Amino acid sequence: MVRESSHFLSTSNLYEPDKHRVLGYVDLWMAKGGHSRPGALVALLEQRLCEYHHSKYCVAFATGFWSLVACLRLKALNAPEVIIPSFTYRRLADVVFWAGKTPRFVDVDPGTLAISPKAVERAISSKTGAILAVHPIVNCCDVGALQGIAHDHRVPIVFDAVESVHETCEGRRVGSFEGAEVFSLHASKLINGLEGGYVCSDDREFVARLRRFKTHDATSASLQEPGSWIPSEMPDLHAAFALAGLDEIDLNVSHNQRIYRAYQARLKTVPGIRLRAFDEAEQTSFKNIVAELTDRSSCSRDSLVQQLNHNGMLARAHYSPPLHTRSYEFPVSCPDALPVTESVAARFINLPCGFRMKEGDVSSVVDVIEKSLSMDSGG
Amino acid sequence: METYDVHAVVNEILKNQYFTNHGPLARALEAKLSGWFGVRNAVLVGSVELALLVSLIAMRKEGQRRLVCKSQDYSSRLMHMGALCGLEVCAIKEMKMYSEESDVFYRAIQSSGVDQFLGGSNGHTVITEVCSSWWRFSPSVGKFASYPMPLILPLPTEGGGSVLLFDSDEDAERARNVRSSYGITKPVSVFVTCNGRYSEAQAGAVLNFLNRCSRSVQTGT
Repeated sequence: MVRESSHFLSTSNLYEPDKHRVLGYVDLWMAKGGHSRPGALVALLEQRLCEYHHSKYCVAFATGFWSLVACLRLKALNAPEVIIPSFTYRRLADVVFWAGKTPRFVDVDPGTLAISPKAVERAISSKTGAILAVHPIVNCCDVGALQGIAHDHRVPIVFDAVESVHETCEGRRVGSFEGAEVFSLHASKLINGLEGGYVCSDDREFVARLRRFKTHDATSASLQEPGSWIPSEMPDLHAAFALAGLDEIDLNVSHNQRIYRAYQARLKTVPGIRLRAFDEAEQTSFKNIVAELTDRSSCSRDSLVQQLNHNGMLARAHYSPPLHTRSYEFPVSCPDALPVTESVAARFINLPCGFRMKEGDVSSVVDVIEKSLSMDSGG
Repeated sequence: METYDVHAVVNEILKNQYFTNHGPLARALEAKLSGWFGVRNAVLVGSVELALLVSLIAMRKEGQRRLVCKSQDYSSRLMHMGALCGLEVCAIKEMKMYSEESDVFYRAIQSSGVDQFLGGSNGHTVITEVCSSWWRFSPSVGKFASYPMPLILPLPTEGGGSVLLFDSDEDAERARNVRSSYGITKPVSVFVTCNGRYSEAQAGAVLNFLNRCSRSVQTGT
């Protein structure tokens, strides 16, 4: 049975904050001057995000994409390459292009599926301008090891933490580490600000440069660095949604945890597929549901995605294809083999999740998975 | 200042339950603008500067190195946008030869709409930006349809973004694909993508403002 599109299950969070809470923030904005005082709610959001992340500073942007570009533009050394994982968000190489650099792809760690510290260390050279480390969508990358390598080689590091809003890493809140950590407020992420991004940092001077990067008027300081400015102010209406979502984040996480528990319970008896587990020793959002097709599965990952989509359940091939296998019209670099990336690229799937998913929907999804896997194995 | 009914916009977004970009409000605004200006394609982009980046990439040809403008249009803003796209920005009076085939031209049209572009544009890519609050000059809406495309127009309200007008379906589709995967009609290969997305809040604000303007014109208020 194909579902109506309005009930389409998605891999996005799409959290819907309480209407009166959003309107309450709109009223607050109006009381502070409204249209004649743009930025008033955004300033409040920045303050609240600092408290939430235990961060010293927070700078809001119109999007997470341009937050990343800004951080790389302002942090990278005068060297041509930025080291990034290949097994990641499909447009990360484009981020590096806009930062005026060449992406240098490296392998991931087989345990975390995050950028491999060993691969990063091997790739560092005089050409390295920065490291762009990405937290995977389940759990975190090895922040300590990566920061150590960056420190030892005196190379700046930026963390793409767009899927790690609520996470801790070794007990410390993501957003409270040194340097620059970038988050997203896109509706698909944990906090739905419709669209938006922000940077957490402890570096006062860097934060001042970030603010100049995104301000409406190009400042004289920016003239020294062509390409170091693009207006990227977040609208206050987006901040109203984000503030309401931040107020309700515990409800949001509880919902996601229930969905994750339902998947855990159902998938443990299905042969050929294994749920990627959240590290519950850390704080986590339980937001993304990722599963791996094991060697016992005779059904391909892409065939399973197709079956789920056919049944009105949006599933996606996880980080596929890997970036180093795509074709680009701008220069990229991948001199080394990436065996781990190659071996995991066709095995992982993102399953439906998020606010619109109900616990009962998990059974429907798993029924389709079970049927698809048994059919392909001749059952 | 262009204001809008913020409560009405929030209610509309929550009623639609469409929170990502290029949803029903953005589609309605694109349809309204393309009909209004009499062009085949209106592509909404997050800001005027992003519209410039998106159009430069969408119209990009192999070997382009310079973004050429009239000396009075040279600005730090243009310099930054050119640098982000890997283009050197040159004002005409500073150049010995200003009509290399690989040049891309930028021209600005001020509120008067008078266009006295000094350089030749035959065979060149020309990107034109209307630097005025065009909505204040109603009922002259529609006059821009005769200008070369792509045409960048600012949109009203704080953070209201911008619209790119194209007659060519192919050019418009490339621009949509450069902007992001949201709102595309079909995937096409482009040099690079960015995030030039247009949110439902932006669309709701602009629609609310323009609808209120229309009602004011109709009732003579």
